[in-house]
Amino acid sequence: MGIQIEAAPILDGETDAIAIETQNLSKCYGRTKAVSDLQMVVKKGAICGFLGPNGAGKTTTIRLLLGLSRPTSGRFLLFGREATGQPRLIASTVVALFEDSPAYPYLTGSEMLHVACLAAHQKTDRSRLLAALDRFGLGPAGERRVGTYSQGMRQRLGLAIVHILDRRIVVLDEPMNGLDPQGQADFRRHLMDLQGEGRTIVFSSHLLHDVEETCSHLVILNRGRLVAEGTTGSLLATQRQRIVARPEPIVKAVAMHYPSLTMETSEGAEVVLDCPSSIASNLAAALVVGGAEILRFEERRSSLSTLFLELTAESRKDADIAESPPR
Amino acid sequence: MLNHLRVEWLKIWRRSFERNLALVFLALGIVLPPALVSFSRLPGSGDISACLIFPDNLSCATDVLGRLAPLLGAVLGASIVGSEYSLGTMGFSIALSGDRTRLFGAKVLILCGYCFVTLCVGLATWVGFASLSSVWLANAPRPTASLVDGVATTFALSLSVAFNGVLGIVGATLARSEYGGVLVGAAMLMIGRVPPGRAVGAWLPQNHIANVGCRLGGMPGVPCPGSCSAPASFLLLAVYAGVILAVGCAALNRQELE
Repeated sequence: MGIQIEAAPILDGETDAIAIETQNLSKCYGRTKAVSDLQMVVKKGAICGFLGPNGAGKTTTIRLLLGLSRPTSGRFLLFGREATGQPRLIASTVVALFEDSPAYPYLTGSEMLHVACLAAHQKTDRSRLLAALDRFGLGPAGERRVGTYSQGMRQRLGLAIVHILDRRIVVLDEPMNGLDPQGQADFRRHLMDLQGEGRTIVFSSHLLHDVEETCSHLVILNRGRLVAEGTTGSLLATQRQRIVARPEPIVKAVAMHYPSLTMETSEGAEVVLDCPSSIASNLAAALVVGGAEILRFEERRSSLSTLFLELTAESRKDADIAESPPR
Repeated sequence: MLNHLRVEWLKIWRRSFERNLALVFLALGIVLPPALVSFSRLPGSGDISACLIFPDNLSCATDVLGRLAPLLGAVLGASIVGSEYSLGTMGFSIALSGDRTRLFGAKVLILCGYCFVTLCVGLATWVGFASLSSVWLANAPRPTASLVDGVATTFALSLSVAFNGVLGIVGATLARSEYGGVLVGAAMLMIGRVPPGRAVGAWLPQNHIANVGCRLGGMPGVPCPGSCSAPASFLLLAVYAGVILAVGCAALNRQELE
């Protein structure tokens, strides 16, 4: 296996703190808006969880960011540089790994890495290829054809490609599907390693527990639109509030007017109200005006799955209507 | 571009379909000459000496392989591009390189190179085995063709295979499938059966390919299928190929990929 000659392109303006910025990015297929006026910022060095229900526009956005699809309107920047319609800039900055990692089944694992390096115009040598295969547990299978690999091995080969290509942004589209628990744990570790190398990672997944554990930032899409964006901690902390108040009859009477909260009665006739942050101050004022005594008022860290379900509830209702049989 | 060529070469050489196709040409070159000798010994069989005596056997080989090779060229071209779509690797390749035009160009160049080398190896095998087989001919006649004739028909056959290969590549790109390329290549071969002399026949690429071979050398005593000179036919073929490649390249550049 030979040595690559051409040098990898070098970007200017690398001090820019924002890795990806989309400005009113839209993509339409006929009358369907797959992505609508997306304004999203991913900071340099972050692991950004890219979430949304099926059909939310995640994969379409990823395809736009990879230059595989052209936006209907809007634009996006990579490290402050205009990247819309700049496939070479995109290719020199971004590398992607998809759910069903595409591979040439007739090539061996080491040949696949070699082909990836050649196609990406990146210098490499055989020892580096073998080291990458070893790192992802594919050393013994490096000379086997990729067609004989299991799903997990193919995903690890995809990770080896991501690892060996010195791209500063890594896009992972549901990469953990099909991995066993050990494979998922290894994957999370590799993700941290990539972040440790200074790479920015955009990580799309439906495995919310993994996203919550690994991602420093979150971007949540619903029906092609951005519905939430920020650090994982801030999004989860500020999403809900807990109000402990008494006496029970007054609290219940006031709470009746707020259908979006949940209510628990604890000992001593205290009532615990769990409500979205957006209505917490109104609710507290209504309780005081109604004659209730507020004992505690605290932020409650909700789980990512709760947050996700709340933010995407609308689309699920629509999906239910669409799927219900006609009468 | 060199990197793209190396990638495409690695892929075409590792794929069993393309490798087996090269073996088919080799096998034909090895099997057919002795088979012709055996056939010549049957009572009432025709004169097959032209297929065995050098350099007549070169023209004969191009004639026999010419019936199969253009279709195989189309299939090969369709396979090189169509397999990328069926494996879902086209997007992967483009995302890595970021240059669709070079990717397309590398595939076309590798296809033409592969077709040419495979064809030459097949013909050389044929010529070698046919010359060896001619030892067993009862009355070996004198050769009637020149080496120039053989080289000219080889050149025309290479043009034909490469042209159909390009059609296969472009058809597969437009249809995003191997079947599209094979259909386009096969359709062009069918159209090529239109008798020369008719108005449409004068513009058919197949006739101009044959005309190039004929004008440069060709089979002695066989009339050329067109009235153009060899450079004029070649120029027209280059225009055809340029237009077809531009259509394919534009299609790939506009495609939205998975």
